[in-house]
Amino acid sequence: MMDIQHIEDLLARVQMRDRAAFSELYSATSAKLFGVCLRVLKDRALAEDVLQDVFVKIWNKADKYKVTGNSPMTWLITVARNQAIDRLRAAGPATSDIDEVAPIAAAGPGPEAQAIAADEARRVIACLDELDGDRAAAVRGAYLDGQSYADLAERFHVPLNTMRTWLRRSLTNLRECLAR
Amino acid sequence: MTQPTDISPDDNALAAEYVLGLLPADELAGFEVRLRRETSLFALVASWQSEFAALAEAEVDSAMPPRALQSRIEARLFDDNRPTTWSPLAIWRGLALAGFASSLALAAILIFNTAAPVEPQPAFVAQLAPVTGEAQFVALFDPDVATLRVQQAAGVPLDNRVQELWLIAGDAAPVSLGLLAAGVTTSITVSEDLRAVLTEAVLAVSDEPPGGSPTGAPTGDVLAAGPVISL
Repeated sequence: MMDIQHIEDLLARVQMRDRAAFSELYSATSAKLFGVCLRVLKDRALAEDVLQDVFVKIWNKADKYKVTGNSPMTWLITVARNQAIDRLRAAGPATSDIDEVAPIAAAGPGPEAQAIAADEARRVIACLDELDGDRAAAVRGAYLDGQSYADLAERFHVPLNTMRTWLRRSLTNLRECLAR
Repeated sequence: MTQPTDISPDDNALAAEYVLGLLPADELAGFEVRLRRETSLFALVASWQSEFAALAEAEVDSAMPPRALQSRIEARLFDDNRPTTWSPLAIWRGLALAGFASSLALAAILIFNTAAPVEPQPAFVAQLAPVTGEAQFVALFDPDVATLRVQQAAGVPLDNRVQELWLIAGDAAPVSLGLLAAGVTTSITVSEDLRAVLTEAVLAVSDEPPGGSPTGAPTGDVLAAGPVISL
């Protein structure tokens, strides 16, 4: 688990166009973000290419990371994961960056969001464990591997519509568990 | 993340599907419109982002990228001879959505047909919506003659300024397609290289000094922009 306060400080300096901070941020986070890209793309050359785009975006959009009020690692991982998904599905519609679709008065940073990342991971994993094995695997496949409904339907041998119904129900169960 | 309150199961599932990138194209545009307006829906999306990212942080193995990658990234960003990223256009990238195309095509054909009643059917169209100011443009590409025809649908050029058309493909630097003539349809021949990327490009118009951008990259405000959509 990375030191959230440290990453936050680095991002704040990157917003001020501090190249040394950018370099340090790269050292601190590139291995995790490369892992995220590689998990989605399963191809080192593609993942290297996408990681470049990820850090270019981090530099250009560092001032936007607070739009959701999430932790800096959430923002960094989301940027990496979405960039990888866009490459994976080069023909489909691109993912939007969250700052581009935020309401004018967006949530704003919640201080509680900063302190609980490790705890949050434990909760999500515990709630996934409450789902049936296949259902948890489908949720992980969709996020971590970037699988589409078509991919998931094939993997679990069910029709596309069934797959969607199934996954949506899992997401509802997951939310109920997370809200407890 | 604080748990959002009063969640409908449907919105919860939609928000999660949005974060997962699973929303079908025809539902995506409508969802994003709601997202801009509904703070509670936005909070749901933010909380799913946080939860899934926490999962990735815990479960995805780190991997060392090659040593040379960092210097390649820094060269891309800090080599001052390269044109900088033209950030307002990122806004328009997400707009190439299927449901949008048919009404847009109709609008484009109506606008052009008033000027020229017998026109061949265009294969690609772009509606350049206002970014700064009120200028709007419609562009039609006819592949038979490799010609892009651009007409201003609203606004006029400022005094002593010209309007320059740019093509932006992916993260590449904008490429100038030429200056737009005021008040008439401008026909622009598109080179073979650019034709290949046209369908995934964004067209944009910038405000420039007479004679066009002196640097080869946009220097003034982005007036209007929009994705190229295939008919």
